[in-house]
Amino acid sequence: MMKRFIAFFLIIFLILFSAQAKVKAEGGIPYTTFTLGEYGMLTWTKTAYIPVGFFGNEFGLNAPEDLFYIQDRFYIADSGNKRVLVVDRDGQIIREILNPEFQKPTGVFATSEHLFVADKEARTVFRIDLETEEIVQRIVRPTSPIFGASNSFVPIKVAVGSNDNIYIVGEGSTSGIIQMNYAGEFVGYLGINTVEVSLRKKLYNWFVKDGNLASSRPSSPTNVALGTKGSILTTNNYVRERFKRLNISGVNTLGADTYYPQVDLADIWMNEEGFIYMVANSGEVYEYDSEGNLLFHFNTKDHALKQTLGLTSQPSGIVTDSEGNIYILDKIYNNVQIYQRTVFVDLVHEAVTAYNNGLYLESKPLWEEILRQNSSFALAHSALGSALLKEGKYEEALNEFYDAKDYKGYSNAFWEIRNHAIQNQLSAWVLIFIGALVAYKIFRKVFRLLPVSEKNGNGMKSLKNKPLIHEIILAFKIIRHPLDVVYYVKEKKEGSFKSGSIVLFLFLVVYLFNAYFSGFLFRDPFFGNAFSNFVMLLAIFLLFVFSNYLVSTFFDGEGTFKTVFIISCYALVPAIVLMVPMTFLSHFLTANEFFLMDLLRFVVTVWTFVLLIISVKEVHNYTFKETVLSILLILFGIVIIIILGLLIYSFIGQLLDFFVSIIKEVIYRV
Amino acid sequence: MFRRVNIHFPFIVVLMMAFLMAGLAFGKEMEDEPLPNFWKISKYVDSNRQTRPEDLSPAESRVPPFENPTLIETEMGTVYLDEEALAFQFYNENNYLWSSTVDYENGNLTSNWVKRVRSAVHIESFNTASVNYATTEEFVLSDGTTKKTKIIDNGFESRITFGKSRISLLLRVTFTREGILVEVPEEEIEEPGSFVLGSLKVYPFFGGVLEDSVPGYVFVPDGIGALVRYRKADPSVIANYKKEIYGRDLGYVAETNLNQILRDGNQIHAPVFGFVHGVNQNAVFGNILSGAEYGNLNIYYAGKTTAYTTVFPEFVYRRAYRQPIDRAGNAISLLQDFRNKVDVKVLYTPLAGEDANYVGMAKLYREQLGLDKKRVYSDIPLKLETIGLEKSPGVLFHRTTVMTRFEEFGSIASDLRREGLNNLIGVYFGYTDSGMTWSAPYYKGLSGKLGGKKAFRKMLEGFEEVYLAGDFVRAGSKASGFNTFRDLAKKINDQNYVYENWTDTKYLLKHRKTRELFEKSANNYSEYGIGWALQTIGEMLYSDFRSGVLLEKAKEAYIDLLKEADMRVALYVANAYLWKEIDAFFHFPMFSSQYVQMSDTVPFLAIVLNGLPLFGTNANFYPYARDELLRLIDFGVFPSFLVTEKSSKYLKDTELESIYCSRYVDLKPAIIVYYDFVNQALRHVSSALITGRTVPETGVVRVDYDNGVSIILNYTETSKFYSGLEILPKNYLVLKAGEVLYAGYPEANDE
Repeated sequence: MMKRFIAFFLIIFLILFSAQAKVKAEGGIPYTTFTLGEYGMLTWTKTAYIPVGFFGNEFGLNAPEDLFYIQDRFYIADSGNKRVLVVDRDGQIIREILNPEFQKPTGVFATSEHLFVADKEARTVFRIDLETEEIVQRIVRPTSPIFGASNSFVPIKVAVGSNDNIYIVGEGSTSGIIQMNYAGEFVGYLGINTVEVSLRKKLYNWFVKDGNLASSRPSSPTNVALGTKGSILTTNNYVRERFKRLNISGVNTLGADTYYPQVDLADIWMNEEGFIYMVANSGEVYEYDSEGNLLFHFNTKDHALKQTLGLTSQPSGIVTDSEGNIYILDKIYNNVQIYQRTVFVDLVHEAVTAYNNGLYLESKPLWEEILRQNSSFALAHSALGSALLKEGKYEEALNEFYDAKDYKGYSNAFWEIRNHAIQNQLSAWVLIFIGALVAYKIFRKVFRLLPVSEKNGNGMKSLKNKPLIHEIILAFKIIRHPLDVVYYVKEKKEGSFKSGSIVLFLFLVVYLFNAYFSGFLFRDPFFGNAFSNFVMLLAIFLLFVFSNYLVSTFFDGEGTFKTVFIISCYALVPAIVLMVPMTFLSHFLTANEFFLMDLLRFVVTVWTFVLLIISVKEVHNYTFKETVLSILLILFGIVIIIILGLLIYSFIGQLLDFFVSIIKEVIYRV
Repeated sequence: MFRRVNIHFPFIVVLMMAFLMAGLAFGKEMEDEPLPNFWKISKYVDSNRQTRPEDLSPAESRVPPFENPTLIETEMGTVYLDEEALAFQFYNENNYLWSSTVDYENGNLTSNWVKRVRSAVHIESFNTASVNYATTEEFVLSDGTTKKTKIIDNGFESRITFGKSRISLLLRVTFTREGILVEVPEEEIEEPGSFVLGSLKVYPFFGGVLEDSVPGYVFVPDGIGALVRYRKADPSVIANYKKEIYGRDLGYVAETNLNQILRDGNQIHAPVFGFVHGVNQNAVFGNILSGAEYGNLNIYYAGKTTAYTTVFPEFVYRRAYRQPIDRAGNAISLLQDFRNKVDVKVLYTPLAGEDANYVGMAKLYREQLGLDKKRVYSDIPLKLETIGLEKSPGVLFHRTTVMTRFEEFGSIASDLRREGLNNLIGVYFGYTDSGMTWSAPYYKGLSGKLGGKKAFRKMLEGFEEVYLAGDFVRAGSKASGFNTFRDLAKKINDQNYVYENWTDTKYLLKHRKTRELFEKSANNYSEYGIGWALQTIGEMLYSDFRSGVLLEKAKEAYIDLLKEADMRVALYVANAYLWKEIDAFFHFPMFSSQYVQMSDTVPFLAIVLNGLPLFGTNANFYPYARDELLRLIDFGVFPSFLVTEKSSKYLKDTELESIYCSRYVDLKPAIIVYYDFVNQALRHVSSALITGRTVPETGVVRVDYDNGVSIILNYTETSKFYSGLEILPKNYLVLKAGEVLYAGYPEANDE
């Protein structure tokens, strides 16, 4: 799993890098839309939301901080002008709510009767009656001791639940969302962020005294929105879980493999259908389903600063209307951009809703249509796989899961297939196995009776007597008698560079074979180019041998370079022997049997290392203490050699650069 | 026990049946809806993506006549010259006073700005004596500027010597039947002192309008074309419009990886602009006859620089640029040490009456270019692009992904023929062994993996025309046929033009190498009688500072290359200077840049190029097909698809992974319906040219052709009525002399 995790980040990085380069605005859409493809990577998709207009340029907005939508009305917190605007669907102001108590309204929330305004500078949340426009309640800093004596109350955003619970985001409120009851009494904190101490900080903390420790306070939530089914959505900076869907007890209920965008989110919104919309300060827009599957992503940042339809400078609010169109408030351009949802989004929403409600089979035709329009939509492949699994079409399901690179689904489908195979053909296989065994025994019996057998035996023997074959057979003895092998190589001079190299080569081949040809569930898809891996492994091994030999010359080791090389090569034999069956086995195992593979990997690794350590000890005839010391020195040696190598490499590189530039100069100038 | 089961059993059965029925019913409801992108009707939202209804209110000239003008009798009639500022005025046939300056008394301008708006010419110069090449702005009325004006045939001529910079130039303005020709001859420019010419603006306030005091708009060919209607000063405007004609000049860009430079909306493909004072009343169309490759188009938005909206060209003679001096990326600022060959010639043609709008401008431009009608057919053509094979880095060797073999592309064509689609144009990408991305800039052979020569010949029979796709401008690092030392073009800072892609690096070639490789490659395939569809060459104009092939020569080189090509040539996007030389225009731009300040998108380019087969971008990727198809019909552009035999999922981990939808079997229903939808409208106007385009009401467009056919489109989600005839939602009507030729595409998918 760790492997996938690393690969995931690697790929996100790669994709962001390459995607940036490829952004092309075609069809009058100034941005490219992405969805999640295989391996949780972003991949291209049809434009989900078409920019169709904007409003508010003439409102004279001044750094508006929040946008809210309910019952065909937009509420804009026009922070710089100390007012809240109520705007209709046509982009016309229908009310301007001004109050002398407003100082910097940064958050708005409305119900059918009341308007809630979080005012950062007044340090108050106002509840305003929408009919009379009068303040009916002022929520100020709670006096309750649980609130924390040193905690300040700087409300920046507010949301109100159907049970009249008030959720407030306070600036610097590190304990989480401030939850109040309808009367404005403090109830508790919700959804505290975890503290992630980086390695650098850890190192730093190691060296400094208590007073200078790096801050380990959790970051405070930055925004809040009301979700469906009583959930609360928050956005957070400086943590991996940039947004959360909290249940009533403050637990993040998003799926475990949710892709969290690593940007500073400005606002979050959940519509009635349960889809989550987010916008980042830097213009990125994300849409998720209620379970945390990324559906669409596009970047609205107006890099060219040309005020283009659909592009933003610094978004501060996002809402959707009842038709699913997106509205984004921009606090620099001081307007609201409108994005119309396309038919493709309708299709995806319909499919996702059905799928999340467990209607796998019913959603199948929808997913098929989605895949017709986008063959790399991973969620569609996964969902279709699940539907096919339900239908018992395991092979097809397996293919879909493979296309999505959905390991869990793939494993399940494969388990079913294997189960069927075992059930249907187990008896047949057992029979074949027994038959083969019997045939073999009979053959051997018969063979011995034949006159050719003796001659053949001789042939085998003479083959065994060939030195190279003999040495390789000796190498394989290391599995059972490592000390004997060391003795034979060291004292009897059996073994040669040739046989060592062959074993080493075999190891490299088997290792790479294992890396590239293991079953899908056990393979690292980002292992890279075979040739470079080959060279890399070989280099590491030779480095060990070389360093080992160098250290031994300082340390009165008895081994010659040849011995060290040969024994080190032979130490790889168990890996060779085990990895071949492991590779085959990996094609028949599912995620349930990961432990088996992990165990085998563990055995191979430990065995190889133990053999290498034994080889150091025995070849050089060290005591235990000397062995430990020498191993440490070998590792140190390897590091030094690498550093030296890098130095020389960069020297040569610069020298080459110098000559190349001279040559270029000559070519250009002459 | 048994009894109890017996009681429950029927109940359970009934329950199960009910569930099953419910499930089936629900399942039915969610039954696969074919082509939702076409059949679902989505709401119309009015924005600058579309053309809005015209404001036909009458215009009155706000500019007062000059007080003591010099009168010049010309072919155009009497011209009034303000000798002090070299500004001119004249009356058009509607007796509307056109002025090269504005009603500056009303605009709240400072005295310096008054001088600016009156002045005929503005220059910016660099002081080479100062370390940072300080720039100076001067104009005809700035202090110390002297001029010697003389009246010539049909106009005047003036030698202007600017006060501070001592730069001197000749301005010649002649008023003939074609229009007003403004010239600043390159050989007459003198730079005697330390000041050298940077840029020049001519008549920047010609046709300028104070806020919304005059109804109308300015026009720029941004993308397909855009309008900025005159309106109140808008304080939210951040920047004026300023864009290089034919795209950004990459020769001065310091960024090493050109994929990283900011993209700024759509490109300007034609060196023209215009302004309308009163739609269908008075207009002036500007055509930059010479110097356009060094030109910018500018719009001053009301509320940004002044309260006037105005459009004008600017010409660049020199630029400062960043010169990297070491590997660490340090750079110094340098000034270009020679002057660009910019021989400014701008022709302003007054239009009046019915032609005083963007359509009239387009028709005029079509005439000026001398484009002839080329297309006549009974059914419109459908372009099918395909990908043969693609290479990408693999585990051990390069990976080859075969997407469509020759035979398969042939059977796609015959399959569509069986459906009645006969006019098929094929474009093949990735037909060599090096695949689509890694082949450029040299093409040789047909990959055996795709079926070889025989299969290729067979494939050709299925299409009316087949084009091989090629890029002879961008050379790939994985390709052969060129030498990275000798054959690459250089930017002014001596760097190559580099595009770092995921699987390879691309460079821009020297122009003569482009020609050589094109001729060699074309020769390799001459036996098949195919055409060539060229990428990059049509839309990219760049200098090679190493061999001294600068923009004006580069332009000529490309024109010659296409002129001398003896096969059909189509371009993927083409700038105006190549329009005469091509047989088809692919990836036709259908939108403008949609800057917030723009009020409308108009099909200017489409109307100009109406006689040429124009093909849109591939319909696979349409966000919402119905709107895009209506747009095709509106603009007279033909549909295009990218089809492959294998699923696009095999393109993952290749340079083409942004293609997410291309398998023929998936696209076939869409191809048939989309084509039919467009064909039923455009086949009636196959040999005709657009003569008019109006917007009677929001979301309804009427396009008239010179064969008497009109197409009326309804972009909205509700039925509209046009002279008593109903147009269904997102549908159209084809009329001829009041009679209905086609009453709109059938509504439901029940056929």
